[in-house]
Amino acid sequence: MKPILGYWAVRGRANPIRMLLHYVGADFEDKGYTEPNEWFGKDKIDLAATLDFPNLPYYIDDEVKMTQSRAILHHLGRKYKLDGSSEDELVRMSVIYEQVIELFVAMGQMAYPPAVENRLEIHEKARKEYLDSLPGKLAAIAKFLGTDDWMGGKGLTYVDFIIYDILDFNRHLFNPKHINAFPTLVEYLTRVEALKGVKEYLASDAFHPLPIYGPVALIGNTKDYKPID
Amino acid sequence: MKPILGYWYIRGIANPIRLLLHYVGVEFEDKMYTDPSEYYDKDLRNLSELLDFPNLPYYIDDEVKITQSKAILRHLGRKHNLDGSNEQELVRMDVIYEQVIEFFVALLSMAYLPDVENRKEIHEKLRKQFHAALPSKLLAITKFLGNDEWMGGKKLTYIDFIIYDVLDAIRRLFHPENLNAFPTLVAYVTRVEELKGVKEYLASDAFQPMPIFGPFALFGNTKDYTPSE
Repeated sequence: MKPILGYWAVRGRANPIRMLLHYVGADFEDKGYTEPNEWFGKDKIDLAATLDFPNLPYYIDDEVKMTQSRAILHHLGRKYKLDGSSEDELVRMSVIYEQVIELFVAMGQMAYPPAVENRLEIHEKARKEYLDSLPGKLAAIAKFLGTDDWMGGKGLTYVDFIIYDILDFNRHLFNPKHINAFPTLVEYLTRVEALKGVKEYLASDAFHPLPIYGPVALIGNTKDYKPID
Repeated sequence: MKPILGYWYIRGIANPIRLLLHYVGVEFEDKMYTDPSEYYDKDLRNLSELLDFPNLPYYIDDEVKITQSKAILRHLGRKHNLDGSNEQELVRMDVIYEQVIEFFVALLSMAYLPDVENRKEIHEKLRKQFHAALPSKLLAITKFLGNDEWMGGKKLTYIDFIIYDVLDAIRRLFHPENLNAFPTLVAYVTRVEELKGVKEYLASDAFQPMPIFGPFALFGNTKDYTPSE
């Protein structure tokens, strides 16, 4: 069967999976839900018997029926030989992944603060904290990469698609200057974008850099979102 | 050298590492920071030379010098034959980890809210929401475990120490009856606690079930914290 990747028609958590599948040239159905009811009212119910934890994204092929974007990526990494092979590489991949995921979590919390009266105040506070600490965090990531091409230290791995996406979020949710201050990181992002398969996908109509988050998010929630700082 | 695990004295995110090391019977220094200045003003300087991303917890032995609790656990899992041995196990481990860690992230978010006037009100709201959703989430985990002993399937893996710790945190941050409603999960938690090495550690003075979070957290922050629901 043709594998299916199901997710909202936003970038969110699915882009690294989409990029990996385009990189390996897998012919898959990129099912993007635009209508909440199509998922909540129909497919989520239909898939309740198939998926242990029905959720978006889901990935279904002849071997697996699963959810959780990181689990999907790790599985595809092993399947398509995009996993580390030495302990050094595996350790590097784990460490940088956990480190950069913290940025993803922080951005997500900023985008979706709790549904209280002063959510904008909470958002502003979180935003200021995030941007104040960003240069130091990016410096550490740049130092970690050093002169390597890929985060694992040897070849391209599935972790590079995740790191790429989270760093690129920063260029769309905030002024690109924060990332551009680190030329080796810019080169790294360009290196990922130049990969055969990825390049074509990013240039196609199938890929939209924005929106990153859903319509109710406070940032990055429209196709033409413009960062403030 | 004797491995060193450095972390705050609280349970936080270090307990799975402590449990694993006691299970495999490795002699290690369980360095617990009670005084923030001992970390920030004293050790951090030296650790900044050794660690790519200085942070707590850190784990240093003859092979690695790393931070990020999950990276530490994955490394120790591979090192001590506590990793999945086939694709099915590996997929199960990743899926349940991502699913259960969502709990923990939610608990962390409600424990450490930004410093706004209504943080107590927001905490109450989030806690009630979490508690209301708990039964269906625990049911899904119960179904996932099924008749297996361990989350991956047949083999004990490092993931079981993480899942155990989050489930045990839930029955201390909320009334134990929330977890007791799921006998399979109680049996699972007991199974982990009975493991040779783990049993002795949990019975010792070295193990303190509470506090889970630090002194400034909005709940689970004292030795004798009592849950309200």
